[in-house]
Amino acid sequence: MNLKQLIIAFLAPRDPAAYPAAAIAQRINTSRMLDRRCTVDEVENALRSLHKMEMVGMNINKLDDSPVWQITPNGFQEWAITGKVTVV
Amino acid sequence: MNTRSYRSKIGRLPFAVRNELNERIRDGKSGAEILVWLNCLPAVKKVMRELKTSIVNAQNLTDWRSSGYADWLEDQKDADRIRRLAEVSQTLAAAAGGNVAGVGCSIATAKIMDALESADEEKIADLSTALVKLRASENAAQKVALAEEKNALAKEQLELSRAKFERDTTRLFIKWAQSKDALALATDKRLGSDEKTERLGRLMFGDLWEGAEDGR
Repeated sequence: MNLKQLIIAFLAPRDPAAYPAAAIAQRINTSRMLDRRCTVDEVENALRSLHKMEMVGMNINKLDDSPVWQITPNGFQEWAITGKVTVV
Repeated sequence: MNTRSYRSKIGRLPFAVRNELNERIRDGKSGAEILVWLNCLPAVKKVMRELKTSIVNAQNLTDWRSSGYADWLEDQKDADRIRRLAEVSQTLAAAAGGNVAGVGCSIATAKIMDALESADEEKIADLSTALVKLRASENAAQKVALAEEKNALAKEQLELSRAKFERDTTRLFIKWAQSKDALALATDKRLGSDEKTERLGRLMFGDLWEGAEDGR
């Protein structure tokens, strides 16, 4: 699975929870489901790409003005189609 | 995990095909049915050509059940567990107040998820039980409050009906006190109370009095 698929596999089962990119990167790395470690920048780029595809949504955490990301209905559908792989 | 690599024939099939195959096994389709479906798929034929091997057979499917399919089932359990935790987290976040659909609630849900995912199963079960009990007691209290509200409404309606009855009776009295016939009947000393009631009733209500006779 690639990074985008893993981001969906992390966010979708946790819907409607919204996470910052750093937390997503940390959890994907902990899961060891990617064959290498990913950086926060890589995750941010992948999230922006998924955002353009309307698979994730972005909001601002008003406490620190940082972006947080959550799954959209399109992303959730994609997760279901691809077998509900879950980043634990 | 679905991300594991498998060296078997089925394990080398595209992800989407393996996923559908797993769903068919889970849904209880027979091995024969599955093999007919699987070996007709162009994607499967292509992989078999590349591997220079024959079709997927019953033994391949049996092996898959104990390897890839078993892993897939575990993945489904993980997904279900995380989904349940997400529901509990959302309930807790919503209980803290604010807009359930709002960003704040989603961020709070994530924070609670982090805490729950790092907690052990027993503690989560205790928390769920406590939440269920809390919700049940809230529901019971709501039912009592609703019943009390209903009773109060019924009492209010009864009082309104009585007030209306008293007002209507008073109006009737004023009207019929001016009638010579009614006054004569009411003051006739030769008539008993029942007879007076009967005759005044007929005078005041006509045919309607006959209908009301049984209800007296």
